[in-house]
Amino acid sequence: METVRNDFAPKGVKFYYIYKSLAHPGLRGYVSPLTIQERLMHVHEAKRLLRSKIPWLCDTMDNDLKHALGNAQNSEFLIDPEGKVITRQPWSHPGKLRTVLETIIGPVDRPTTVSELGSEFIVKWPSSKIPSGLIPKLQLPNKMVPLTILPLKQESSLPFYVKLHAQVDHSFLDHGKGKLYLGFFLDPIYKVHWNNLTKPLEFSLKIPTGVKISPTKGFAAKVKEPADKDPREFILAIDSSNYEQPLVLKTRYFACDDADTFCVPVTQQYSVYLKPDLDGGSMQQ
Amino acid sequence: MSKTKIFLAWFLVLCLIEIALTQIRGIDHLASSRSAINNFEKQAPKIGSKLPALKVFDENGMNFNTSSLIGNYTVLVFGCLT
Repeated sequence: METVRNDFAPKGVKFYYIYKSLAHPGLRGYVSPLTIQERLMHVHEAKRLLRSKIPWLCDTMDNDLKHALGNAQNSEFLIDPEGKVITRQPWSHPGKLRTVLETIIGPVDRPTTVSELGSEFIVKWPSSKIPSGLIPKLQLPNKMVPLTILPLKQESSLPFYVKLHAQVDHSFLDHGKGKLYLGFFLDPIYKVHWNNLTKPLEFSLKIPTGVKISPTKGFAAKVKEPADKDPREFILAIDSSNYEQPLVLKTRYFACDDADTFCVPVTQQYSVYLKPDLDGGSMQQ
Repeated sequence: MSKTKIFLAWFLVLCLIEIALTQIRGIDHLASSRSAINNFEKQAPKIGSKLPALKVFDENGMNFNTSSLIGNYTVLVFGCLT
């Protein structure tokens, strides 16, 4: 897409990337933002990593634009000066786009090649000195479905350094009885790690009438290394005839930043709705 | 049967299981991709229809209305970090 922009932006074509909900939360450690401020931090991270010259727009937290434009993860649209759709692709295809632009705008003398863009466009994903991969990943049932989660207002103004990702299996969706996955992921945009020299992460669930979950409390396992970045994961049994009222999940943990400037105890709460989050993506472990 | 032959037999069985699982995962992935494309075909604005006017944000968090795109040829590409 950068080569197409290089050739057609000087001819007046505008290019925008639109940042939306994550397609694969958990991949390379990135987890779904909870606020628009955090999504804008993702935009800046994407700009920094991709070094793209294409400006970004940021969709609302309700993903209004994504929904209005077909709800695909990597779609592409060409709009004419009157605001009408000329082409639409469910998956962006810069080669096809170039052909269309050559027809509408006119050919370019010498199309830019990817190699001409140089190595600055090779993505260097961030790495950390804090170890990861110490805790084996849980083996999850196939095709779990993400649940809708809302952060609850908290007394302190601390960000959600750790983010909850909750999923259920198809057995629960089909029969009301199955597995509930709770994954607590450090958010890499805050550059924090677990402090394993103190109490591990714990959670407790307040469950409404008509819902049975076992267990309703849990502690993460102790880790020998003083610090790490692995998610803390739990699989619970769930049996519910009530899908309306949310579970309230409270979690406590210590978050320490990678620059060793703070280490704070954090208590945070979420409402977990037993309804699929259609923008929740598919989790990558 | 020697221990080596038993080991090789088990190794072969495990390889076959892995190949079968990879195929199943591939079929799953293909099916979900097709479903996403079908949904897109149904839900996305048709060729010739107007881009809906919606409020989003620019990189700095300032309001940006998609109606402001009128006046130029514009390429919009959805994406995210993962």
